[in-house]
Amino acid sequence: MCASNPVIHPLSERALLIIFAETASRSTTETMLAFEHEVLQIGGESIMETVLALRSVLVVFDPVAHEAVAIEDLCRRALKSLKTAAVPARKTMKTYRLPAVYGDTDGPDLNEAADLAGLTSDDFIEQHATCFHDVSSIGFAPGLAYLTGLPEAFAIPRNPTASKPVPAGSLLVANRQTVLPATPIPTGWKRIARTPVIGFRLSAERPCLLAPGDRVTFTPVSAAEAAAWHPDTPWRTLEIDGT
Amino acid sequence: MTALEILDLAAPVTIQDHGRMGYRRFGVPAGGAIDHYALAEGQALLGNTHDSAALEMSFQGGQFKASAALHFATSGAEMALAIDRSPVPWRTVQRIEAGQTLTIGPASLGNYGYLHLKGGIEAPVALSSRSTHIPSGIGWQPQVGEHLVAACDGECAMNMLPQAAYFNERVLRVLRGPQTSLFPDTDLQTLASGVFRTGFVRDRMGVRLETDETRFQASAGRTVISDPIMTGDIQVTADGVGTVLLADSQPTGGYPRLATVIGADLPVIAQMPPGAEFTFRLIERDEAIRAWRAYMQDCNSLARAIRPLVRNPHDINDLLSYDLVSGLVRGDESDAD
Repeated sequence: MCASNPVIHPLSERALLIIFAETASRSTTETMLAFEHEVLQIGGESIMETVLALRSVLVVFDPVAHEAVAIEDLCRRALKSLKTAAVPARKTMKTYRLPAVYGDTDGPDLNEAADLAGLTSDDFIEQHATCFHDVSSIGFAPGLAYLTGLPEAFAIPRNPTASKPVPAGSLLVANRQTVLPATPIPTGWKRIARTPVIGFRLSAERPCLLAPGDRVTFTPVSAAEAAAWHPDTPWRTLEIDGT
Repeated sequence: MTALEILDLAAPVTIQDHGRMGYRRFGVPAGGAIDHYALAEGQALLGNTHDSAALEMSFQGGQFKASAALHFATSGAEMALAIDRSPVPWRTVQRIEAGQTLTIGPASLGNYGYLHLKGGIEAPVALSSRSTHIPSGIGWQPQVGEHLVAACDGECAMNMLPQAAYFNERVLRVLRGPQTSLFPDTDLQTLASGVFRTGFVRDRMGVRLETDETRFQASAGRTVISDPIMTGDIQVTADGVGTVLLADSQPTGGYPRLATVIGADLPVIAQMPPGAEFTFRLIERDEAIRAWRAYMQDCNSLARAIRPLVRNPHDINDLLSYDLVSGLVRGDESDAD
């Protein structure tokens, strides 16, 4: 559980934003997942959509069919049930190991990022790859994952301006976070590597490989190995025992 | 195949329907018609279903050729419309014969015009919607040489809808939001009392606000952590300029948001032409909910607002080619004829 009390804010006439904490953390993500599960259980059809971000959850409803105060009450009940019951660890949380090509054309900012972190390039790769990154949020662009959990040395700044779009699968680092976009995006973050695994597809059942609460670690591979990675490889083969 | 071949496009077009509900948690924008009311108008005119898709055109139209006779309707921004160079009125149902050419010119009122085919335009469904999202390559973006295929055709009443009043509305109603308190009170006062103009920098993601007022103070919000966005949110970037976020806005964002344009006024900001002067009016949530309910009722009762299209003889260039004699009244017809 997070220490602070979640606050329910109206956002437009069609949604509520529940802010759980000042910043993202693993415990906040777990609390938000439990809340989301609970609010969908209690609310059923009255909840049109939920969006889970780094430290807040959006609850969208239909104000024609439902009174806003009733949805607020429903959210309060969901929050209360989190306090009384122990939050069960979600069985669906998974750990994935993804191949990644560090440096060179796939990670042109690697050396600069390593300098800023005060590490040799080899140490930088070693620490980044072996870290068990927490998936804090999917957002900003389709399938784009925010990964947290890097050590203090990785508190490197982002560039003041955004670059031209970087390829899907790029590993972008700044502020102790890694961003893993599944589509080309412009960015001011340091591009250190690329994974051939594109964690987004047009599947209504499962569009994203990663979900908040999952963990990710990387295996450095050569560019040739990455090129040999088949895009149709089933996602389940990337799962590892994360305990 | 009842289809329109795209002969020319003056600007990029997209396919839009009601959008993707439930995929913002995966980073996918809700999308959908930027003027949802105009989408509903076309659906009502043709008797199409609520989930049918239309062609969305921004500022400019294009030229299309019918491969077979078909019915179409137009809605949204008023654009010059002609079948084989004969002008036809906007916001009506029309029939085009095989081989005829449909020409859609620039918008004269509003920004986004819609072309609807009977039964909706066929397009692949991706994540529960036919909407095109250009930045991520989701959905189909029609190109010159491709065909807009009608999902079905059949008899269709030649109907029209009057121009809706929102094209001339110049007051946008706004609500406070979760991050309003990050700004000094003076910023909300500036928003509520100042005169703003829609910027020339706009797309389906958002429209920048121009003003001669003092810029907003974004300093307090620069450390704001990324939170979910609602369409209509007014985000303030580091330069102190506000942007109203529209249908294709990203699902989450780290810029602080000063206020939110209410849902019922989203078609207003979508269609307000570049450079138009307008003001904001700060309201409470109860009023916004009442406005949303009235707006949704308007959308859902468009079928009852439809009127039969009466052609004005002055607009009919082909009048002389009509066989008027066989149309003489016999005297024994029923009123339904």
